[in-house]
Amino acid sequence: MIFDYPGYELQFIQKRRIKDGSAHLFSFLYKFYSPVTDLQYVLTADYHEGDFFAIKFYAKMHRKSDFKYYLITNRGDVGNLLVTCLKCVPLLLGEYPTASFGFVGSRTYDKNSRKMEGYSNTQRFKIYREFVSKKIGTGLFQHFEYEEVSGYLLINQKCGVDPNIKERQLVSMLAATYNDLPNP
Amino acid sequence: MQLVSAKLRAKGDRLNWTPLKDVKPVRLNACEIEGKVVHVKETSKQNSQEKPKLLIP
Repeated sequence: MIFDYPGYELQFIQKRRIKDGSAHLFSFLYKFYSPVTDLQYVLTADYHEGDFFAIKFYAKMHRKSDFKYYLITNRGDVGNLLVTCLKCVPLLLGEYPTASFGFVGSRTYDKNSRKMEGYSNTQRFKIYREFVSKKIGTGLFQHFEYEEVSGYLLINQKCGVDPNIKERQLVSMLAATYNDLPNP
Repeated sequence: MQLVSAKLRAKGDRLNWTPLKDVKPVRLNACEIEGKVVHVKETSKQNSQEKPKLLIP
C-alpha cells in the first residue's frame, strides 16, 4: 500500500500554557479542514518535561464531548488526516530540534451500543503505527511501540542521551503524569 | 424488532467491547510498560517508485 497522501494545510491557532503542576507544560493548537469529510479538525501538540510532544487530534464538531478522542466520524480520508497530523513534526522540529514525539491510538467508543474498545492494541493504534513507520524514517528518530497501551514513541537521536535511556525516561514521565487515566 | 436487530449489529456488540459503565481507569506503571523497537523496513531501490515519500528521513 502506498501512503503518499498530500495532506492539508495546518493552521496555527495558539500556544496555551498549562499550569496544573504536571509535566505537561504547554500546548500548541492547530486546525485543519478536510474537503473530503467536510469537517474541521483540531490538533494539539502537548509539550512535556523531557523535551517531548504528545500529538492528539479530534473532529472539531466533537470538541464539547467528553468522548472527543474516542468517537469516529466514519467519513474516511484517514490518509490525508494522518499526514496532516504528522506535518506538525517537522514544523515543531524547527523550534525544538531535539524534541521527541509520541501518540496513543485512543480506544473507540461506540455510541450505538454504549460500549468501549479495550485499551490494548486498539484499531486506531494499528493504523497509526503502520502509517508512522511508512512516513517517518529512522535517520532522526528511533521508533518504539507499546502494543499493551496502544502507544508509540519517536525518540529523537539528537536528544543528547542514548535513545534507549531517553525512552525509559519518557515512559516514566508519561506513566507518572497519566498514571490514572480516567474514564472518558 | 427492527431496533433490536440494529443494536445487535452495533460495532461494540459485534466486537464484544466493554459496556461504558464497566470501563475502569487505566493505571500505568512504567516498570510494566515494555517498549519494542520498531524496525522500519527499508524499501529496495528496485521498488523505489512504490516507496512513499518520507516526511522525516
